[in-house]
Amino acid sequence: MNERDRIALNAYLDGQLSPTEKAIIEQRLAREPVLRTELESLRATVALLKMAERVPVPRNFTLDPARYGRPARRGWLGQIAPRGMPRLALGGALITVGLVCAVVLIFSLRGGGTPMAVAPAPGAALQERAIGEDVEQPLVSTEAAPQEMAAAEVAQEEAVEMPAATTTLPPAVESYGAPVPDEVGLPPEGLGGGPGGPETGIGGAAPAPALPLPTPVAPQADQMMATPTLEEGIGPAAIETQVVEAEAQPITPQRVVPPEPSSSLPEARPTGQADRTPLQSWLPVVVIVGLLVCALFAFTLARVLKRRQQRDRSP
Amino acid sequence: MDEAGLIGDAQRGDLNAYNTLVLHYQTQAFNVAYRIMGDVDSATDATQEAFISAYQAIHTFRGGSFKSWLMRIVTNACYDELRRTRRRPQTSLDALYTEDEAPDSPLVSRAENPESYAQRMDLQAAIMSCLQGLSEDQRTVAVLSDLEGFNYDEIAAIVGIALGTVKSRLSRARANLRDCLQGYEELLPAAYRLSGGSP
Repeated sequence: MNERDRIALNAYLDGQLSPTEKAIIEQRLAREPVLRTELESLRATVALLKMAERVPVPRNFTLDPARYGRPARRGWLGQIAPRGMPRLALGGALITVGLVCAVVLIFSLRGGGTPMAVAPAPGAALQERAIGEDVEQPLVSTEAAPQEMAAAEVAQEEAVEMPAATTTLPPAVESYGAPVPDEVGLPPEGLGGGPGGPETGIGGAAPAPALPLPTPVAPQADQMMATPTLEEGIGPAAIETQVVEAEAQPITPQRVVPPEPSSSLPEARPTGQADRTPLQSWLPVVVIVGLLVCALFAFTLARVLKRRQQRDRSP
Repeated sequence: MDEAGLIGDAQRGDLNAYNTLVLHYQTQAFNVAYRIMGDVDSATDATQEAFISAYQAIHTFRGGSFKSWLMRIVTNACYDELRRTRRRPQTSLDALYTEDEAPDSPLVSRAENPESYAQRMDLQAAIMSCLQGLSEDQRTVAVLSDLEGFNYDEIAAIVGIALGTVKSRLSRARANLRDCLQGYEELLPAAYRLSGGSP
């Protein structure tokens, strides 16, 4: 007796065979006593099982109208879900679509930057700081800086070779943060009262003792308000005050003519990442983490509500 | 009973209509749960959970056999309850009573003579014991087929398996039940004994 014969006998016993199969098994039963014995034992077993009595219910299972009386409405997720689609599956699909859309939107706004490059480049930080200080200080272009520094070096070399010409030649670059000279070594004529006159400038391309005072060529508006101009004359006391301030202030690059912000900004952005603020750089991480936290919160809330519901239903 | 009308009303939120369906099917649902679970308390929990789930999901019922649809929910609730019981085994205080001592045993019939009652109880206990000796899959198919009278197609729809799987599971379940019940022959009266066995 193999498993296939036993299955066929059970199906025959339950009347689940087709007429052809039934005819075949009846032919075999007529000539195989083993099959007949098996069939009888199965028939007796089924008859015994059918003697199992119905157990009366311990109580009615009707639902309480006070608790379940409201219409069996579907939640908003169930209302938008296609019929037959589990709400959990729809929720998962919506979260997935939202995540994909958020990632695509974020990286499209970032101009195709590397997804994981969230920290701004050092140059970008410098640009950001310079842009932030644009109102008070002239913007120094990162591209223009090497050229002007080179020009300053050339001017310094010329000044070393021709020290006498420092007071007569117009400075190529007025000031680029040269080391602040010692106050004792300041020549009196180099502080605005010398023969060079106001046009000759002070410091800048001058030799080492030159003082990097604010340039008189094109000072900024606020500097013009705060600093007395050369035409007004600078007394010794004011000069000393300025020297002390110059020593106290950090060395900051300056240029003669402050460029137009609109024309200089594009030059200061060699790449598309330079205009990103730290908030924009961290935005993808913040959004993704926020979505994950929301999903975790929703999952936990669903579990808590389900447990509470089960506890309420328990008799 | 206008089953289709009651189902439609229940789908529109009529709880009274749904409770009418519950009253109609609760005995069968509870018995299926009782045979699968093996004790009254777990069967009660599973049945109640099944009727609540069925009410919440009745809008997904699209016709066909409501009884099969409901029994599928009942069997699923039984599987859930079995898994929950396996994770957190519990001992019911009711289980401390033997069946004879239980005052409100559902199988007690006070109008029966003691000898007949004892024989009947022995048979019921043997059947229940042998059913519990089966695996969950075989037990469910055997209960639905031999105790509740569902045909193969209905069992396949209720359990969610192929027709061939129903046949093979039922064949093995009956073979195991026969072997098990033969072990109780000394305890059973002659009328309940199986004649012959597996060759």
